[in-house]
Amino acid sequence: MILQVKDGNYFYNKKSQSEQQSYLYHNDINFDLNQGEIMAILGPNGAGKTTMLKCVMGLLKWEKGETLLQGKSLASLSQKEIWKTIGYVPQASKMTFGYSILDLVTMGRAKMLNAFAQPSKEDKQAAFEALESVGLGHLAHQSCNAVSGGELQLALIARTLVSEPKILILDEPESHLDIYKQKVILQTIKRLTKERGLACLINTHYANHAFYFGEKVLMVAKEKPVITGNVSEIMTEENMLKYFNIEVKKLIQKVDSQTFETIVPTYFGNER
Amino acid sequence: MKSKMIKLLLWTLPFLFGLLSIGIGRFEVEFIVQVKILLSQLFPIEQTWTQMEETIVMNVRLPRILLAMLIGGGLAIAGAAFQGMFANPLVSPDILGVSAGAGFGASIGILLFGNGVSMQILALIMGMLAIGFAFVISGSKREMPIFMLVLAGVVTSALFQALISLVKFLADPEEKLPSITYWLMGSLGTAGYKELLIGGPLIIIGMIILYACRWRLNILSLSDEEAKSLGINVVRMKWLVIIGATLITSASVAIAGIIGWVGLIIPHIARMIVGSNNQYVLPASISIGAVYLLIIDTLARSLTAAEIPLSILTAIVGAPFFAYLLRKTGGGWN
Repeated sequence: MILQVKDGNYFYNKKSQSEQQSYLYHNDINFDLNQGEIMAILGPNGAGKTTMLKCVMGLLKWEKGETLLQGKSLASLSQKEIWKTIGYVPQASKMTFGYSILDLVTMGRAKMLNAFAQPSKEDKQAAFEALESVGLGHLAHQSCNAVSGGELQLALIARTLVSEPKILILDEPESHLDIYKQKVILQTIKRLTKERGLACLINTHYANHAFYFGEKVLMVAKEKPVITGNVSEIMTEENMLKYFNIEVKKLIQKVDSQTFETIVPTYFGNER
Repeated sequence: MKSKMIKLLLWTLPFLFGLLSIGIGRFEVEFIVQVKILLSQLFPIEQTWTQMEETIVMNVRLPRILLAMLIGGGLAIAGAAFQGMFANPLVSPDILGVSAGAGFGASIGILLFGNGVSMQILALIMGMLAIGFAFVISGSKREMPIFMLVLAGVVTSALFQALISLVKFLADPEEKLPSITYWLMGSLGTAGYKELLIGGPLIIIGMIILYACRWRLNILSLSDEEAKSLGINVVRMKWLVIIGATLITSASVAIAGIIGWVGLIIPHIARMIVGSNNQYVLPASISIGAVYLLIIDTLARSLTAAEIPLSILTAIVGAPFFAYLLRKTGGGWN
């Protein structure tokens, strides 16, 4: 077990007119993740998915409970130890300065260097290899503001790979991307998780992507208990109605040798 | 090949321009003579020049040229570091109110003691105090969010600008007021070895601190959480950058008054030449800033019989040039 959350709980600040109230918002969150496993976190907007991810990594503090990395509490580990284990991939956004993609990826080596050290040739080489591993070698010298959103997202994934993390935490990596680029991102994440035995925690807006990963799911919504489990247990018509307030049909279909498991909102249906 | 040429130019140009500008001025010294005078300090060379020439080269122009280069390079690297840290290409070294604070210290110094060491030390102290003040009102010792720092800087600048005005208002309009006004526009007219000794070490220490941070500034320009997840101690880095830039800026103001524009435009020019990576932007800024302020100061002391204040020239020369570069490249930071 490489990543474990024990009784995690965070406050949700709700400003009422009279005073600032904060109250315990979710019930205790418990889950664990092994190497080579992917857990998708699903929930509607404003459910606190990003907040939860940040609590898991220690960027925000749990109000109660703790995160354990390889059995050790985050609080007992130094920042360096934590970030050598965890690679965090934020949502790609336009940057103020147009660093080259290679420079952007090289930043991932900082946690392996001394406080004032400059990146060496080996560091650049490692960055280049990480870029190759996500298929972006040809863009190494492009400005990060000149490439597409999907390419930038891949570069950010490569940036975590250069420091050889054991856990990958991704915040909606496939948002704002077209359907082809989503495929590239999802396939890359799944491949890297399996090849490198990473444990992968991924926030997503797309329920069907949980079926693609086909492993663990955590579902969260305002004022509802957090539920975790396998895809087939969690991704049910009842849960989708309860957590997303939408009626769906779960479809399982065999085409040729492949099985497709999806959920489709019922309003998609046409009467014929 | 191209990048090697650029590197060579960035290294050699400051020395070349420094050497050339020694001979320029209202009292002309021939280039050969000037080189001989400089060399005679290290090697025994028979004196074929007048004592007057030696005094002008060694005691008047050399310290002034060295200071112009130090201050120019210092303000430029401070500007580049702040632009990186604030992730904003419109930031200049006085964003937190150092210049206004040091300017206030200098104004009081002139009012009380006249131009001199006491005034310079007062300017230094007030520059540092202004930063401390900005910290207190930003009210965030631990996290230092950027927007709070910027707002605190705006408040600090406004306050100390008002205090400068108050000092001017109180100053004797015949003698002190022109002196303060002139001084606030920036000048190296009084620069000598004493000033070099006071300001030089501070500026160099500041430069070394910022230079050491140059690569990590790339990471600091990302969001705080992202930088933290890349293994950076964000708060410590911000402290280092602020300390480095404050040392440079307050020492510069203490010696030469408020010199605008250098810290704002030189980093842009550096980025247009070497790209956005701060690992290269910072050293290039030192070199370009040194050459730029040297040229400006040489113009200031040789164009007319009276010295022209530096801030006037940095803006008059810098603004159109900067506008031209912006139009041509569409902003080098992309």
